[in-house]
Amino acid sequence: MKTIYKKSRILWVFVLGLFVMSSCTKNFDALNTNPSKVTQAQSLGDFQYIAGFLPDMEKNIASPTDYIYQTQQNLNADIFSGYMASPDFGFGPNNANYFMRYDWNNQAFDTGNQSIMNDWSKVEQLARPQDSHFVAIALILKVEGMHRVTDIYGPIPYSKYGSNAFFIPYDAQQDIYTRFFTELDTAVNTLTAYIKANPGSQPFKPYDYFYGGDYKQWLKFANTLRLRLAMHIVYADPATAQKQAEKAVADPNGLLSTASDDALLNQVNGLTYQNSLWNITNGYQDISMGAPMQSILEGYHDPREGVYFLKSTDAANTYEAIRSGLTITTPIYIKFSLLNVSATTPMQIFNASESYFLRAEGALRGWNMGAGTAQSFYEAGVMASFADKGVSMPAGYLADATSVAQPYVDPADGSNNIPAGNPYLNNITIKWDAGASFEQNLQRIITQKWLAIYPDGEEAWTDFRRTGYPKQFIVKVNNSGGTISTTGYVRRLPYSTSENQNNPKGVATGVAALGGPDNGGTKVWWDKNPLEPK
Amino acid sequence: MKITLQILKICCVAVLLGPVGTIAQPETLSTVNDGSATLTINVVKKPLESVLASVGKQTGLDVHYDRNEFNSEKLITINCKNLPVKDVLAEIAGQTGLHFELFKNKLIVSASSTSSAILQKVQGTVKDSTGQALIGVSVSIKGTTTGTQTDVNGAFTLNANPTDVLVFTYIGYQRKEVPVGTNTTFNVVMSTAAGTLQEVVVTALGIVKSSRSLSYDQQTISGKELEVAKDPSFVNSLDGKVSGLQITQSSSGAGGSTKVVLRGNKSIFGSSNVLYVVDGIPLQPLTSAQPSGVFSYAPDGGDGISNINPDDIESISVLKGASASALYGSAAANGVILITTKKGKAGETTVTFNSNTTFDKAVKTPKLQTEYARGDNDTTNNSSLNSYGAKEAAGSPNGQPSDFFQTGVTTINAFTLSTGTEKNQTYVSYANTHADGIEPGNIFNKNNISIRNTSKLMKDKLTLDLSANYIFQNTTDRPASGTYFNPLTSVYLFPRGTDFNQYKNYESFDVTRNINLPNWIEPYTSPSGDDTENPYWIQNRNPNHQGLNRLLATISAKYDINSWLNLQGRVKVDKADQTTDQELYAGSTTLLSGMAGNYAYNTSGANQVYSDLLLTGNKDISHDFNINGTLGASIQDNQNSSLGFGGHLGNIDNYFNVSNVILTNGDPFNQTNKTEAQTQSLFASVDFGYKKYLFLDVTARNDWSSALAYTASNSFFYPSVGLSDVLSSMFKMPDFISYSKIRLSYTDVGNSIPAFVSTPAQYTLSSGFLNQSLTEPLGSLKPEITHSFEIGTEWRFVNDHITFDATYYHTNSYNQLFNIATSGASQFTSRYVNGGNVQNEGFEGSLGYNGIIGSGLRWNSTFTFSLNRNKVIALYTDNSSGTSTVINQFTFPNTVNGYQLEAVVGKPFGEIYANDFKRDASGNIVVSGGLPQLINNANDYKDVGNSNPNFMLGWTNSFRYKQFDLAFTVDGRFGGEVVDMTGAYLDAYGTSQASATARDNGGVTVNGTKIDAQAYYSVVGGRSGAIAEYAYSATNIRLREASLGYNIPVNLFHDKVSSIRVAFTGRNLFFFYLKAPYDPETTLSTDNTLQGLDLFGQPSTRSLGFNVSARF
Repeated sequence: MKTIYKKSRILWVFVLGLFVMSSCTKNFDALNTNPSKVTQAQSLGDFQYIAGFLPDMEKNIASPTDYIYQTQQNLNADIFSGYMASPDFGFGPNNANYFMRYDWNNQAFDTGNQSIMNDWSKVEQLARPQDSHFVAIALILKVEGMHRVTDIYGPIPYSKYGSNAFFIPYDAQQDIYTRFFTELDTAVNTLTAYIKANPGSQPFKPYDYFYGGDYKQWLKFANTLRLRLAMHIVYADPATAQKQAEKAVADPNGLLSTASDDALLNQVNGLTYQNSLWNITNGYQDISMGAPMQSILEGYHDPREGVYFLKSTDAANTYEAIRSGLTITTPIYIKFSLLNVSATTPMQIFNASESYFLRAEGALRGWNMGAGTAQSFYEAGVMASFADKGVSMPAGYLADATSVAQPYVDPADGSNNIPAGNPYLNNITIKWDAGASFEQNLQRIITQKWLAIYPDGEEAWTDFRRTGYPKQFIVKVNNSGGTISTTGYVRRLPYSTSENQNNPKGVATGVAALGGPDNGGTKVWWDKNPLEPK
Repeated sequence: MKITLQILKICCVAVLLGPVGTIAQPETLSTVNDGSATLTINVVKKPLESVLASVGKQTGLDVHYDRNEFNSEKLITINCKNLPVKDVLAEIAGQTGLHFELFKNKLIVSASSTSSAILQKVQGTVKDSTGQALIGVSVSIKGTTTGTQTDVNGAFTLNANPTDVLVFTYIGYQRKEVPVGTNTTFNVVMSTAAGTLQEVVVTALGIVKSSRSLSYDQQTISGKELEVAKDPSFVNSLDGKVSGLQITQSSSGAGGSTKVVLRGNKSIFGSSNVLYVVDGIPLQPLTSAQPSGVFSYAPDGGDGISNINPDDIESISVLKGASASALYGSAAANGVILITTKKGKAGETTVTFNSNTTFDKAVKTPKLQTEYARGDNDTTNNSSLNSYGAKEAAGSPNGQPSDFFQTGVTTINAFTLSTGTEKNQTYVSYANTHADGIEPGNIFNKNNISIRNTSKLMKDKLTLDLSANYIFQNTTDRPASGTYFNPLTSVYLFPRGTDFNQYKNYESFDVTRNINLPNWIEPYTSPSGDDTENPYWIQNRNPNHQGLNRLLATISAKYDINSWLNLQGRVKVDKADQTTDQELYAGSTTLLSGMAGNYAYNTSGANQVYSDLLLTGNKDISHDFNINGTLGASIQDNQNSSLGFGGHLGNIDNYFNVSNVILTNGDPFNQTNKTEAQTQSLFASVDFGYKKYLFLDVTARNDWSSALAYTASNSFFYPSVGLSDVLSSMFKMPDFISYSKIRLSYTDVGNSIPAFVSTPAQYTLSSGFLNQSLTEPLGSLKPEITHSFEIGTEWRFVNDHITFDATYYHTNSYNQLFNIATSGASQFTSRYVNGGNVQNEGFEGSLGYNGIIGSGLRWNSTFTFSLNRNKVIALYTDNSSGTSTVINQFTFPNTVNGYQLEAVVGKPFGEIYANDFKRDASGNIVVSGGLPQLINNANDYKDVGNSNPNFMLGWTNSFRYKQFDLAFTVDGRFGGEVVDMTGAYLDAYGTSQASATARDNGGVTVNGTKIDAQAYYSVVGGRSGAIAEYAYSATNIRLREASLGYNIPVNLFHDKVSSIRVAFTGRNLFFFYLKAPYDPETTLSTDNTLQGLDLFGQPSTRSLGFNVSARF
């Protein structure tokens, strides 16, 4: 009996053990919560779970991560705008010589969707009614971030963002712009009302890298952004362009106008980074001075050259720039002028001087741009730029009616030279000439705007596609396989390979809305300047 | 009472053993006093003297003893009836410690147990049933530590008392006990465990089963077979020896990771690697992050199995199918390699020493040209990094890879000590593995210490088995893959016609920076396409260290509740702490190290605690029916943590400390992580046996997995059923068939999802603020399930001389979890989905012969064959939005420019797609601007095939003749494709022989037109070039390993050594056939990505060496 009892006791212990085991799965939820990540419940304090997504939006308009910025903007728009060119001899066929690098050209799309749109959607989803001011900021940042994306590709997913995993339809660019303006309306109205109701309140301060949480600055930003977007579409929808531009100028909150209004990614609120361009030019040595920059800056004897670029490190010790669109297989350009940027230079998001050039162009077009003329806005813009860059404007700079872009000499390979008389030299002077043609004054405005907003290649490329100014040197080598006209320049980037793989039906709607083949030669909707080559 | 009982028992044993004695052949003793005469004594507490008198009286022997020598008045109790004299004397000896010697008609009684006068020299031979001498059979005296081993002739000599019992044990053979008695010569025949009713194998959870009852294929390899030609990671020694097993080694040198796949890749997202189980308990795989491509920073970090000391291995069982492993749960769906480690042996003390030294030489290095100098466009230019210059001047130096590679030396020294009594056995071992790699500076050093104690307590009812293993291992500069921190990039791309040796002095003092800076063909501040650096600088000034400390401790207690039921509890702790660091000295390419240098450090811990409780019963219900079952519960808890940082150094050059690291850039602590996962399981396994030839095997398991929290159910169940029939026992078979069996089984194995994939949204922090995870959390996920069916047969002919087995299997893995890319506009970039059906089917088999040819040449030969067909049947269909989106293609992560690995419906898993020429409708290469055009769009890459072989053959042989033994393994893999991206780089830089040949021919002919070689290769070569042009057949046949051994006669050592063997060994000796320009069985990565790709991987090595093993 005793042994039987013993045996059954052991069995009972065993069964009990199993029971205890299977009942202790209750802590599985806790175990399966990653302690290295933050849950929503953990981030309720100070509304981090809502506003905490906004800093990421500010960070991803022009990424402070060098390798992201490099393919997001630098190896496309910064080169296509004529600002910069790459000395890299290992790139082979690439964007610069019109071989569209699929592996590079995903980045702007991906960053826009994965950061800007994604963060906005979280704010939108989680915000309570009283958090609408955060939603307003998210909307402004969304428009600022995503207009760059649509300007690069044309139709993109926008209104149907997040609606499905494998099929997200693309919106036509016109619809996207319409939505941009509506979203800016909402943002401006919300912030205006918020400031009125809560004077002095700065709930966004702990999150804001740009303006220290000052919603008044954000209203200026939104207005200037509206003005910029209006100008983008001036050839595609002139009526809306004028209406939106005048609305932007008329808003009592004003526009960005002084250097202190510049939207910069400041190293505050715990953010530290090294300027992406600094590592791309110094570390990677993948980007240098572009030939049109040297041609125009030196043609104008413009002292901003020394603020923008470094002298070459070879014996000549002068500025040496690279013409884009070559086949470079050897390190002949590695000593050429690098960008004059330091690790601590803040990333530039929106340069305040742009607002003057936008108003100058609006005034030139006969729009009501407030007090001032095309000339006064133009000159104010040039002065604002010099002030912004901390360079004193040479005496008589604005009165220089003779200087034009100088011929380009390639010290490493004379066959790349652009000699005097070449039609691709930017043949416009500085001095305002009320008697000059509309196109000449537009060229003048855009050329100075181009010099002022450097290094914002994204906006400069948009201006070049829209107006054709300042004139760019055509590529010497065109590897586009006939899809991009050499004299017609690159008009957009093709859709990303990952989208073709993961959202093929969506891409098909995008191509349909684009109205042309998905390559670098097809113009986006707003690219309708009749003077621009077909 | 007690004593009487004992005596009764002993007498009974003696009766049973009686007939055994007839095997022994007495030589010259007369029948009167040979001890077989019987006598009957029944006394209780009688003086010894009277008992001895009684013995003398009944046998007629003259009993001689000295009363001063021992206490003749000692009271003894004995109760025997008609027992042989020797047994009665043995019993008396047992009670008194006296010794008896029979001499003619005298019985001499003496006291000293150590008296050599009493001990008699016994000798004999041990043979198997075929008459072949068995070498190394352990012969011991029962209950003592005295013992020896048989020599090469199977002979042994030992001093023993007539009362002793000799115990013969040998792996794979049945233990045998023979009483000494008066015999001095023993010719013992040991029967193999094979083909007998008692043949047992270790199966899942360490449960010992009769091999007859197995309904699935299991192949066993003895520890000895691993010693033919040792590898620092023993699992590499299984190559060619096991059917259905495919081994792919990382090209990362000694102790590197090994991918071991049984019966084909099954899991798309997870691992297809086998599960390793040591003594019934799963081992942590400790797989390290694998190189991720061209810009991979960290080399392979080795894997957990390479930590194991092969000298501790008693045997290995390979459980190929899922059914074999249903009881291990999830991780075992890919098959199990079951390792049984050594224990101390009762009754013998054995010390072994095994020393293995090999010299390793690189084989299959790329052919570099020696015709054209540094430069471009046929013009020599000493600032170019290419070798497309003019013809070299006469006598120009041309380094070859052999200038860089050194002869690697690998030494493995192992010491083991085994001792024990019937009650308590102890095993201790120490092993050191030291390898100097073929790349200078690469050092691998591993130390293993193990101790194991097995004891019987509580009247032998409780068996306690305690073991601990401690491993400490350091690796410096493990060979990298990819272009960063890899000296081979620089060695292979070094400009031709230039003196390489001048850079052996890799650094010199720089006055402007006041530190040493590298000497190299380009300044460290210069950007370069592929970041070549002085290879010696890389080895000495970009050092990478990997350290590992691992403790494995096991407690196992087994309690026999009664004769047919026992309860076992086990706990195993496996704790591994690893560190890696990478120091980049100032002067390393500034792209990676900034100006002051760079330092990255990571420490990680992986702790696994496994415990289980098993109730095992084995009962004969009736004469014909037997039930053998196990009921168990287990809990496995895995905790992983890591803490790491990295960044450029601040102000102090080359001060590698966290205080000097710039931690403000990016996310320096991104390596920091902490996870815990737990699996709780209940399982049962029951075997029903009928007449010991028909067996039904049913298993069931239920897992509760913490990783399934937040899904519909955290529990999943999977059963298996198997049937086995030993035909040769069921029917009368012709005599030449000694064994015949058929078996079939069906199994389900479930597999949980990884931790955290179902957890509701969690955020990472980026610069202190929230960042949403881009992987969509889904609560709808389910565990994976593999359905597996196999049918097989086993035959043995002519007294087991010929063996044959064959298996057909078919598996489908469903509900596979994989991470599928979604549109970036979907709010996430990927989501985990359950989908997929990967099918594997195949045949495998082996044919073996063992026997004796002519006079004493023993030949053992096994031929294995494996064929696996893998096919992706389905991937995923999304119906979430009303529209059905069918995903037919999945791209593995880590694509490398011109190379992409995919799973595509209708094709085998892991198909390689590569960039190729753009072709027109009639198949001609499109040429534009004088250059061939490429596809370039990854979506349109060419399918170049699959790295897995169509079939594999292996042939192992061992010969033994007198003192000599010879063993070798030939194996071949047929079919499969691999991609040589290294070659593409070499062509682009013009260092390859192919590029020189092209120039000799005046260019490369495309569509009938010659294209300049450099222009052609600038498009076709390089990592983004026409990689499909660099695809090669992976078919190869090689002499995998060989050894020639000689057993030195032990009498040379005056019997102080029981055996000593010296051997010449070789691994990877030569290829009978090879198409690819590198060894296609080495790989960049041992996980599922980057298969069949070489990218500046270290070439495989040929190892020649010698081995000395001694046993004392």
